[in-house]
Amino acid sequence: MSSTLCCSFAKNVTLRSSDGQTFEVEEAAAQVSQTIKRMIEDGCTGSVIPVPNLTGPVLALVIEYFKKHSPPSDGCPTALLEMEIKDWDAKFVAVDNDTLLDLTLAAHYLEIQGLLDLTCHRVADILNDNSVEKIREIFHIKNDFTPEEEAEERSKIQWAFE
Amino acid sequence: METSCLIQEPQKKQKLNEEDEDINGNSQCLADLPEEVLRHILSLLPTRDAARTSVLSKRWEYLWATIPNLDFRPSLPSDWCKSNRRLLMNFVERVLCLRDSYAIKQFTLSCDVLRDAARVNTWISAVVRHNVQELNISLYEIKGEFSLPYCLFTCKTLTSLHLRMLCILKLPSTIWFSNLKNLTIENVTFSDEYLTQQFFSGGLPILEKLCLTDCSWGALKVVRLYAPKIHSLSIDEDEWPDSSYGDGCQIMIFAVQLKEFKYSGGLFNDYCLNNSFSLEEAKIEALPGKKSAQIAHRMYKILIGLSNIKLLALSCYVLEVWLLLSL
Repeated sequence: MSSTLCCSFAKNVTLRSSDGQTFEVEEAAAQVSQTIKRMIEDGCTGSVIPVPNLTGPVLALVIEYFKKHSPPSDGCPTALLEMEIKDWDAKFVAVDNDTLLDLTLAAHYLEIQGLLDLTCHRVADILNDNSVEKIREIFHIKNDFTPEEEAEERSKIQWAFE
Repeated sequence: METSCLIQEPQKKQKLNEEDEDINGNSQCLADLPEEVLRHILSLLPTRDAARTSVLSKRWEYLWATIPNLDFRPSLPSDWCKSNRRLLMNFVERVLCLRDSYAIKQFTLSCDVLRDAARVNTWISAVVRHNVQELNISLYEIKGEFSLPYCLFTCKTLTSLHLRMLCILKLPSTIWFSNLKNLTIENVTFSDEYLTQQFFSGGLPILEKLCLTDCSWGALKVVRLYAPKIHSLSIDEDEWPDSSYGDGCQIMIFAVQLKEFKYSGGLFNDYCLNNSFSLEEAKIEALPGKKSAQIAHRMYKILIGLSNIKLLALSCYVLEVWLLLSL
């Protein structure tokens, strides 16, 4: 791989998930997260950076995102590259609904605005395309209204159901 | 480049579920997301879909009411019936009541006014109080004259205003849209010469884009449009004006930074561009109608204001009128 030489010199950081799994990733890529960026700036480099809110599998996914979105070493991204990233993003969030929520939370904790926008748009699309009953089922929302209360709620916003 | 801990795809999913069940006893729930994330998600939805989330569970009951963009337009023409109008009005009121201090960015309303002018104006005042930035109002079934709330005409946060109302608009004595950049007015008839003059020559200090579509100048004789920052002006007048208003109005346009000018209509009024030396592009379309020396003269006055133009598009009828003038 032609990039091996360049990568072997790149500075890496180690991230540790809530369940103790460690991941090594290029410092520049990890700085896609504003939270990690601040930690690196505060001098956490060299030691392991704990990411206590994310389990190993979620952190592994987030690191895939970091790598795809790390700033290109040769300057500005081209339009072609941007299109490729957009396609990649769409596939990246085409995951099951539970993973989608895990990624949304991860993007929020780690302050990854691009990923947060991406996952929130995907959740919004799902809310848009489904009935109230189906949304409850998809996202495990327990209906704590009594039937009477729910009927009253619906009557208050009846226009939205017309 | 590689992570030190590679996880295969099927194993990854299995592990994720195990983890959730360990912590929560069940899977991740959408309502467990922080409130600001939920608000962000809801803000991406159309108003109707956001409102529907209020019946998901008690946690969701009021979350949707803080979305920044509110759109109250019937989605189907059949929605214009009476019962739907009542539902829409109740809905708008509920949203505005639940609003608290959350700002409204965009507000779109389309409804029949009938006897509810005061009610509609209360909503517009509420929206202005919530620092609205973009306002799009289409009001129908208005009898006679209509006054919008005075506070709208001095709204400091408003950057874009679209008014569509088939009626005579009564203007207030103070008009100062300090931040308005885009203004579209449709079907409005102006009635008071002094106030209309105030509106167009002093009330729009940073206006950049103006569209006047099928507006009538009523019985007004002269109106000066003075907009120092305007770069795009578009005038459409396809509707034949009420003959009782006389021979049309003279509109003197002073727009030193105007770059783009479009006119389409039957030359029912007399438009005159003054000192528009920055003009780059113009499109003039005259609708076939009566050919008179007056129409020809009005066309001549528009064309003479385009002296420095770079790109000019004329409809064939403009040339026919032009020929009439040279006869």
